[in-house]
Amino acid sequence: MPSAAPFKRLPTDGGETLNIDIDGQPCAVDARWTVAAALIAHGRLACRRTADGQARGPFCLAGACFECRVTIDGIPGRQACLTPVAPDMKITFDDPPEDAA
Amino acid sequence: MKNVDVLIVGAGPAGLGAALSAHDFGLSVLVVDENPRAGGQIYRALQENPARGLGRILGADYLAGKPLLERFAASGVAHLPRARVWQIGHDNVAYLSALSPGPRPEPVKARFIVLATGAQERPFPLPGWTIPGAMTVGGAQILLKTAGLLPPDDTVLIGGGPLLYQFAWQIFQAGSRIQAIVDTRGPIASRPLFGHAISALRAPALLWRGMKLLAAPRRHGARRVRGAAAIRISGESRVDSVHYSLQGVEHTLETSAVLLHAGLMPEINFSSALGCAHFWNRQQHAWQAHCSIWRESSRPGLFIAGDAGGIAGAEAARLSGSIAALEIARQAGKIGAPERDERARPLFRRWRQQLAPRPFLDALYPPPPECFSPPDETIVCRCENVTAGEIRRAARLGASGPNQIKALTRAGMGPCQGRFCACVTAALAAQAAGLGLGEVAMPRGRFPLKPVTLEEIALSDADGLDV
Ligand SMILES: Cc1cc2nc3c(=O)[nH]c(=O)nc-3n(C[C@H](O)[C@H](O)[C@H](O)COP(=O)(O)OP(=O)(O)OC[C@H]3O[C@@H](n4cnc5c(N)ncnc54)[C@H](O)[C@@H]3O)c2cc1C
Repeated sequence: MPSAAPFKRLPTDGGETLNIDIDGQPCAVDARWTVAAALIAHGRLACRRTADGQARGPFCLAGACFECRVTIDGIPGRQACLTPVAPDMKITFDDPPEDAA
Repeated sequence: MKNVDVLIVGAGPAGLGAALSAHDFGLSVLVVDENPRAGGQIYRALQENPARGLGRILGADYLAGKPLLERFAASGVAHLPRARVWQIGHDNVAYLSALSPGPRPEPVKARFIVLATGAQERPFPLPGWTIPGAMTVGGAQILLKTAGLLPPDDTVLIGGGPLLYQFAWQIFQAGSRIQAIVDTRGPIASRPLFGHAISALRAPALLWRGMKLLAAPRRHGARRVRGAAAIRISGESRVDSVHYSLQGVEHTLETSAVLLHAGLMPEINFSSALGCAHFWNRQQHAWQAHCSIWRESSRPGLFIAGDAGGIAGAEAARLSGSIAALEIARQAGKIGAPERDERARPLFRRWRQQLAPRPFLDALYPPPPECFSPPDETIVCRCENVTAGEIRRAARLGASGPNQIKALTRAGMGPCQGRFCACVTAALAAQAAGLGLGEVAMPRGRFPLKPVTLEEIALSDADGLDV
């Protein structure tokens, strides 16, 4: 599969940047972003799997669809689109065990 | 427990319009919204743009919200951001959960409640719409407004309607591009449309802008496909293509992102969970709460302002909020009926002007057929992975409405609580029974409206809960 084209960032107005950790990778993000924006800007469009193994990711970005649930600082099931980023935040993905597929 | 005269759910133009007017009459007001900033869908992040030049990119309609947001900020009206109302009890007590760390917000007892919860994008179930990289147009627009992020250059937009073309135009304004718009609009029934066009002529600025938006894709090198059928999205952990057929010939567009839009529907979860009377709006193909001209629902003291009470756009939303506040002020004894009527007259006049082009827009962009009758293999309930085929089977087995199909198939039982499937399930049930779309039971919202912890439920009035 050809690698997917990225979401692009407009020139920032110079707001603050902070560092978060996405799945073990350090990422610099705009302090005003949501976790969903941070994931998408870093090419992580898939953020969880359903019980039968389908990949899912942010869909409505408005708090309604609950597709963008991720684990934030150890708390699972948080809506990435409604959670602002914070310094040193750790985001991991809730994949079910292989045998759930 | 906190006591207020007026609780307003939603800080979009409708909620702010209602809040400012009610505050002017000396009523105590609290505005609650999930989002960190006031503004609702249209004016999202207007006071805190993350990118340079975003106001110009988003356009005049967006910037028009500035005075409203400034007046709200200066008014001193209490605003509780990042909080969600998840239940309204029979005694008009609203239960809230916080989306930010910190103390749980107290329940709020209100004499009057205004639901200004806005619209949601209509679910547009296509095969493959669950694959990461497929999002709603509104969602992508939220990324632009709140994060300054633009979709990839090879993005394909599918569907139709004013919001889709407006977003494409905003992408071009930002100096970016898209690959194609697959417009699902079928052949136009020209005679009724002509009639509506006459009334739409009362809003020439809107028509002019519409023409500008429709012409933009071609000028910016985006392909515009019309009359596509059998649209599907493919990919594994990321969208890689869109397929459609045009006069029997299969076409494929390789892409990294697909943005879907099939119009808006009122957010009726509160009003339906509260048992308010609703009707099927034939022009807008959606359920809508019955309201008086003052926006009061069939439940006394509960008002529904803005797009939550029928899709009419931002300016109409603001006006309807102010109109609701006039009747609230009358019921609260702040003004008499003559003063209410006197003040309402200019608001109603402007409100009607805003409504004039709606029938035309509604007729121009009816929901695509996939919204009511997706192919069997399509996942309809994203949360519980229930396909259209499974729902059709349950309907044939005699489940006579969306609420029974839900019990049989689990469609609508997931965390989104049917927001992205209930209207599709209802349509499939109607077809199986040979009924019209508005003739089956309306899918009902249930409290808690969004998932809450057991602790939150324990601390609330569990009697009013329907779990
Ligand atoms: C995704 C999307 C994008 C849109 N973009 C545009 C646009 O760019 N231009 C345009 O003209 N129109 C747009 N619209 C149409 C829009 O509905 C109207 O223009 C206008 O914003 C309606 O105003 P409103 O006050 O009725 O609702 P909204 O502006 O939608 O405000 C409703 C508010 O209620 C809040 N809310 C809902 N439920 C709860 C709850 N349970 N607890 C707490 N808060 C809650 C929401 O967070 C939201 O802020 C968009 C609609 C959608 C759905």
